[in-house]
Amino acid sequence: MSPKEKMSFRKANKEEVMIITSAIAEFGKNLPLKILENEKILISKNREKKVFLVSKEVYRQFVHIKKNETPYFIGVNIGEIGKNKRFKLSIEGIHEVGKHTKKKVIVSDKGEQFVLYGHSILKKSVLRIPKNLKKGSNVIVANVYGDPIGLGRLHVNSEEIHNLKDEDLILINVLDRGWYLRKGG
Amino acid sequence: MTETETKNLAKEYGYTTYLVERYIDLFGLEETIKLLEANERKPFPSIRCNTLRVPIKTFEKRMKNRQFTLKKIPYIIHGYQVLKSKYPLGATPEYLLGFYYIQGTASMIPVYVLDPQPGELVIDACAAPGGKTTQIAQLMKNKGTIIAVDLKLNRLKSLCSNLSRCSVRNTIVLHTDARKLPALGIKADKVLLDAPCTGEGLICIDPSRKTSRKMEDIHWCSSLQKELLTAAIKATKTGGHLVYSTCSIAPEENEEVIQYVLEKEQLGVEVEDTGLEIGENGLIKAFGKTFDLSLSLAKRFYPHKHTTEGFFFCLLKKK
Ligand SMILES: C[S@@+](CC[C@H](N)C(=O)[O-])C[C@H]1O[C@@H](n2cnc3c(N)ncnc32)[C@H](O)[C@@H]1O
Repeated sequence: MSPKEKMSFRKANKEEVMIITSAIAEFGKNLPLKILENEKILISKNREKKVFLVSKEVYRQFVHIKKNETPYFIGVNIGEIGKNKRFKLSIEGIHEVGKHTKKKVIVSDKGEQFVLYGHSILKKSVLRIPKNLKKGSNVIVANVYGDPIGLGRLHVNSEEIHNLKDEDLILINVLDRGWYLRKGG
Repeated sequence: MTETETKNLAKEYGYTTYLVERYIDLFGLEETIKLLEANERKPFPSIRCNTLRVPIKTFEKRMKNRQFTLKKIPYIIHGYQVLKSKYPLGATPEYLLGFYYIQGTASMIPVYVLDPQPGELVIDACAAPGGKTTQIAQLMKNKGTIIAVDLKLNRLKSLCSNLSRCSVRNTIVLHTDARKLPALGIKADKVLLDAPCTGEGLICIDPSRKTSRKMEDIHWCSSLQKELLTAAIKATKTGGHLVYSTCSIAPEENEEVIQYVLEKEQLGVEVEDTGLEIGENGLIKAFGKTFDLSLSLAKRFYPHKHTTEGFFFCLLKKK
């Protein structure tokens, strides 16, 4: 979010809820329920449609406050809906999904450093990868402790990894928590 | 002490003369020298474990694995001094995961004094970059609501980044002047006013402040602080609590601000005991002015006495 723009929020409509739900469901059928239950979904009215999860308590205060003041930020930003009507996870969206999903690639300590520098992942950094994942699918990248540190796109089918060399590219880095250092301010 | 002697002392330590004059007037010569000496030594950096992201035990283990030598700060349950570190504090995976916030030792205390509870409505009136907002959310266990306000857009960006990094979910961030808080029409259970100040207490961390601030700056800050505190009180519910804090040790920015609101009877506030054993008492006189006796319940921290940054805070109750 550029610091200049002022946010303003509205509730997500049915279509937007569908887009968000189905994108999250790609990481596990029960995930939308786990992540979205008990939360209000707000969308920023700016050019970028950012998606925010807000508890009922916070929502109640929001309704009250917005009569006098437009909030700049609220709750937790889990991603945004692009012009192509696709939902893209934000860093904290990755964290939410990463807590529950099985679509998780575990990388070594070295690999973690690479990811947090914004680099993509080579075979030698991959400690564990789920079976039956297709090339092009999105997976959560986690460190040896299982903490989600980023989102990667598979460059190969996960079954093929055994035939590859140490230096071969496995995951393209889509977004990682190093963002907080590079751009977070 | 003659004028020339004061001048020489100021010159020796690199200060504007008026600052040293003021210290001698407030603390006497002997203590002033101790303060000036202590300001030459940077305190160890300190961090606060963010239990919204990680249990304390896991945090300690992970930091040890990362080859950090931490020392628990005895009077701050989530606070640690960093005695040795192999990596920059703001660039470790643990930092990026939101396991800790880099925060001055004394600056960690006001939020414990405010004691925000899960489910409450809390205002953080001058919130950016969010050291205390993230701490408030931590004590509230992300339940209830925090209204976090700041006037400066570029600082709001860091605030939001820190809220996200630290897994804070219960905040509404407003870009506005905290002097307009009463117009929001809300009455909060707890309010923190960590006011903009001259930052005189941070000389030990940033020596440029030995000369960069003028007497006018102290007066300018003081009158802004009085307006901010007045607004913050109006946005507090009856029976609610406020903590006022600054990283300055100038009485004009501290006791004098509290005195100002105590004298305005219609604001209906009184000073409460923080119950803390650490810290010096607030001043009841300074530079020929006397303050309400209850100001001795406020707390002051000094580099030469507490090996922290210079700091002030005061707990108020709205009657
Ligand atoms: C001492 S800093 C706050 C530090 C913060 N509480 C923390 O712990 O990280 C003071 C803040 O007050 C903000 N500020 C200055 N004047 C203000 C005003 N009139 N209303 C709201 N915020 C203001 C500044 O932009 C600055 O971010």
